[in-house]
Formats: sequence, C-alpha cells, structure tokens
Amino acid sequence: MKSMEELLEIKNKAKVDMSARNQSGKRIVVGMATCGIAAGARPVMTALVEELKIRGVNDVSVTMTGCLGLCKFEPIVEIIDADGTKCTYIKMDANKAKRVVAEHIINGRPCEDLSIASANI
Amino acid sequence: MRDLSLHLLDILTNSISAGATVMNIEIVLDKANDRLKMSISDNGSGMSEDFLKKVTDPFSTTRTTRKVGLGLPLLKEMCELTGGSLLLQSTLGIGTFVDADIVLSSIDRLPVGNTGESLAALISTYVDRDFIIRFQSIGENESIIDTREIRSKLDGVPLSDPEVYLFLSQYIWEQQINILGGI
Repeated sequence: MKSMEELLEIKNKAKVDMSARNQSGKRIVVGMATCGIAAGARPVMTALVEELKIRGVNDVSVTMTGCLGLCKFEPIVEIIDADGTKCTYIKMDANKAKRVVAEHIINGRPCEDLSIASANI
Repeated sequence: MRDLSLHLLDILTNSISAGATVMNIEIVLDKANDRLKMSISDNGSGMSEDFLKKVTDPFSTTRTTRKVGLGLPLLKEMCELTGGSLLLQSTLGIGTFVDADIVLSSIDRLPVGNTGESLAALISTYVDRDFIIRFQSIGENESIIDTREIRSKLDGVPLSDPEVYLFLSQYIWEQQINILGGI
C-alpha cells in the first residue's frame, strides 16, 4: 500500500536529478477527448510514462490534449521534437506505445509503419 | 466507454476547457440505497440556461473540430440504462455540477474502473489546477486526496514529474479499492 510519505522520497530524489531534466525539449502528447478515451488512449498514456521510466528517460514530458480532429485514427500520439518537428502516430495501443519509446525516443528512428504517413486517408 | 473512470476523465476535460481551477470529485457508494454516485463540481465558466438544456444532445458541442459532442450524452445514457439519472446544474460565471446517479445492482452498470490512471493523467497535464477527490462508502469509511496538499509536500517538484505520475496513479487506485472495493 502506497502512503503519502513516499512523496517525500520522490521529492528528494527528484531534487537531486532535477538539473538533468527537461533539457531534451521533446514532448509527447496524447489525444484524450471523448473519441480518444473511448478508443483506448488512457492505457497508451500510462504505457508511455511507464516505459520512459523503465528506460530511465526523464527529460521527455507526456501530457494529454483534446481532440486532434482525426477521431477515426484515435488513439493518437504526437511526438514533438525540440525544433518543433512533429511525428503523429495513429491507432495506438500500449504495445505500440512501448515500441515508439524504444525506437523513436531512445534510438531516434521514427516508426514509419505506425505514423499517419502510412495511413490511407 | 468501458468504465466509469473513463467517463470521469472525459467529463473532467469539460471542466478544464471551461477554465476550472478547482474540481471536486466524489464517488460515493451507498449500499443501503443500492446507489453509486459520481459527482463533479467545478468553478469553471458555467453554461447558459439555453446551452444547459441542449448539452446532453450529441449534436451540441463547444468543440470546433467537429459538430458532435458525446461526453455528457454517453454518461447520461449509461446512468439511465441502470435506472438512474444524470443531474446537471450550472451557473454562468460560477461553475457546473454534474451528478451521476447510478443503480448499483443494475446489470447495465459499468464497473468503476481505475480512477487513479484517469486522475494521474489530468493532474500531471494540468499542473496548475486543483483536484480534490473523495471516495466514500456510506456508513463505513472515506478517503480524500487533495492536489493542494500533494503540491505542498512536493515542495517545488512539479506534479508532471513521471515518478509523481506513477505514484498518484497507484495511490489513488489503492484508495479507491480500499474504500469502494472491487466494484
């Protein structure tokens, strides 16, 4: 059972390596309007955060956003690099999310087969 | 939607869009009256009487990407399927109150699901808003989680920190199970 006291440990740990954080400028955004939620966006977001932690990446933020206007391709995940370059992944699930963390975030190779470029719009 | 926690996530994004800074969430188990209540009250911009009347119509929405909005209509349908109801109260400039009254024993009642995952996603994204979550089992016990208290404990470490995210997700889930059980 978790207790609030654990927050103090998290705080102390975070303060030590705070300087290393948020320097890549990379962001991950998950579409989480009604369409995204119903299609399964929440487990995708959880999987992204968990996989980043497992792999020791602590300089990439994961946040939710509203409807991206492409409801039939939800769950949608966008990875935005520091220079503003955007890669849009469609029809995501928890396993695809883990793959994207490994291949795109860690190895720097976007998963073209999962991106919107691969879709027949 | 597969469970109530997904409805909760969805309805709370309405509060966020309405500029709410404080959201009070209550999930109350009332076994004696065979009821499960989920309510959200916010201090967002509120809705006009006209908009409030049509807000559970799928063809009314504030979003601009398309002309349908399904969040509240889906929640209303789910409540009514169980024999319960959805109550909405709103005042422009004051805020909105959404009260889902659900019949606990109905076969059409969705499970509560994992509210921890829903709330962790919201809390870590909207770090400057406050969420107060209360689980209660009437006649038994209750638990309150308040982001204002968590923020002060964190002393400058942002709520968006991934460790905090995973802690909150697990902590809220455990409180939910502890108070409501696996319903």
